[in-house]
Amino acid sequence: MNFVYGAYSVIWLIIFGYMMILGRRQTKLKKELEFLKHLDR
Amino acid sequence: MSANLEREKGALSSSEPVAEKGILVPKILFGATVISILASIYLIFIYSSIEKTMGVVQKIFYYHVASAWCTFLAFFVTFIFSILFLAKRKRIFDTYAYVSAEIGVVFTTIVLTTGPIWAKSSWNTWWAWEPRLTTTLILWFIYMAYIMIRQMDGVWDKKARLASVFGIIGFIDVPIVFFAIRWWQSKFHPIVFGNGPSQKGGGIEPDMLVALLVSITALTLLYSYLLQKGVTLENMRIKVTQYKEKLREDLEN
Repeated sequence: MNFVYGAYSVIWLIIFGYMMILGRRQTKLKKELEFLKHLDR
Repeated sequence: MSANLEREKGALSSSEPVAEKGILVPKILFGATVISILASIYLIFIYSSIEKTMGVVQKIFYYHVASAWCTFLAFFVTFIFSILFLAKRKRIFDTYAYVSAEIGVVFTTIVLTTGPIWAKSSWNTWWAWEPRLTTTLILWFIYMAYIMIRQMDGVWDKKARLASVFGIIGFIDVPIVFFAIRWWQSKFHPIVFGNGPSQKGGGIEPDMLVALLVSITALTLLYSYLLQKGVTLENMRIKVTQYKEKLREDLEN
């Protein structure tokens, strides 16, 4: 059973890790875009 | 100003970010993904029976196979959009190819980590240099190289062309991974469906098949959600670059 827990933990770690990376990218790009739009006005 | 920057600037005035166009599709995809993942967990751990030979560890099989399916799908999408980009030279095709390759690497990483965990319990070894495992590792390296090409410095369309060629040639490894255990002798990796030179696939019980199909559906929906999200972010990144170019040009004039 430890192998099953191990495997599914790794799966969710990788998926949530990737989703966190996407979330961080989104926050950074939103801030940058807002700043550039403000400069462009 | 280079032709590339002309294109960047031209696109700024004509296009709106995908994020502003609609939020319904991502919400539906996210909801469907969550529901199907919960359903697959129920089917794997409660509904489906425990395999007689391997025992409970066989339950790794469902997400391992579903991840492998998503790997093939993701790299197939990269292959198709790479061809489309080279034929039509539209940036959106390149964006889809790139984002799909990145998600494909994520799913390949899942395959390459869950595989050895399963192998340790079944074969008593974490890794064996047998055809399926070796070709899958090569696949992971190919698409890691593809992502590294995308992150190089330089003009985007040159990188996109180079990456497209790489995405098309790299896809050759996908059928090799699939047929590896059917073409070559493999003592370790089992064949579930169909026959190979050294073993015959025994198939699976109907309840296990249901759990497998729902798991494949769940991860395919997750792939679609991540693809849509990734493309939205990539369009935002392009928009940021376009604004920077426009501001730089304004400052120069």
